Amino acid sequence: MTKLTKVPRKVLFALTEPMALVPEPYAEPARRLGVSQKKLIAMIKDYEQQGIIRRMGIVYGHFKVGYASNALVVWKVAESKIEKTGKLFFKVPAVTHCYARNAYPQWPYNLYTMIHAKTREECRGIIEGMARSSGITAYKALFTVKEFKKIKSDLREIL
Amino acid sequence: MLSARDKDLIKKIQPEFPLTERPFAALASQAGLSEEAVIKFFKKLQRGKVLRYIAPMFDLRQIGVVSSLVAMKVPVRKLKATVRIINAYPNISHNYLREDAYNVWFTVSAASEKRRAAILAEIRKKSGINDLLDLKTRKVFKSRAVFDL
Repeated sequence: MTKLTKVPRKVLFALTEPMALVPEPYAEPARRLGVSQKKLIAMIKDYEQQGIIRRMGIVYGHFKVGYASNALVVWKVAESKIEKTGKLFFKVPAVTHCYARNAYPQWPYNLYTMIHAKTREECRGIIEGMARSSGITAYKALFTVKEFKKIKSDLREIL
Repeated sequence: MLSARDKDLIKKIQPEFPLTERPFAALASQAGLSEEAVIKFFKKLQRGKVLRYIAPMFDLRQIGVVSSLVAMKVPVRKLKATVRIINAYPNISHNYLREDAYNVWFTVSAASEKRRAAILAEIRKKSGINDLLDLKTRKVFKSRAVFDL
């Protein structure tokens, strides 16, 4: 079985559903948990403090707000430079995600960034700028051609 | 499409949903609107799929979920069938076609390493595709989608 440290399963399940667009959206998950809204809000704040909840997110679909071009850019970075490069890429506003990952002999890339921009040219410009500032020459831009699936993970189905 | 006024409003509203009993009223004061008008605005955005959802964003690793990014080299003739196999799993939240020989990229999350590995083994078997990169996260430097409009 899953070892769910820190957060009881029923709390996760009560919070996995998106907030209803009503004046008091915390009321329903609080009712499901059998606690007051105040208590639920305090719990969420506590989880935020512990880093278990990153934030209460208002999540937009970026295709719809004018970010038509995006690419996953994979970088081959010397082990000793991963930390420094990750921190450098963090500062680029067009980078939404930056992860270090394990590499393979046939796939030597160990740093992964998602770049979002309005056009492909803009994307390319950002990527070239990142290559220049980091000094990394081995990288590939994998532009997104099609979205096959994009959902909010439902914890009730995963856990 | 979004009007200039809509974009302006989205910009005014912070991407953090307030932790108070009347969060829309709190957002309303940021945007200079009434609570009712903000709720109406979000409903409109949701209908137009501009707003995906408002929800707590869990750090999945902190709650015991193991996940990875997976890349597969899928020949065009097998693309449709393979995507259907992959997308059938609730454990797979994102799946994209990308410009590379490794053309199919998806994220897989599961409650245990065993389950995660089992899902990938199933996908290999059902699709008949063995060329797969299982790219586990070593470190997260940034994970946040904030856009200037």
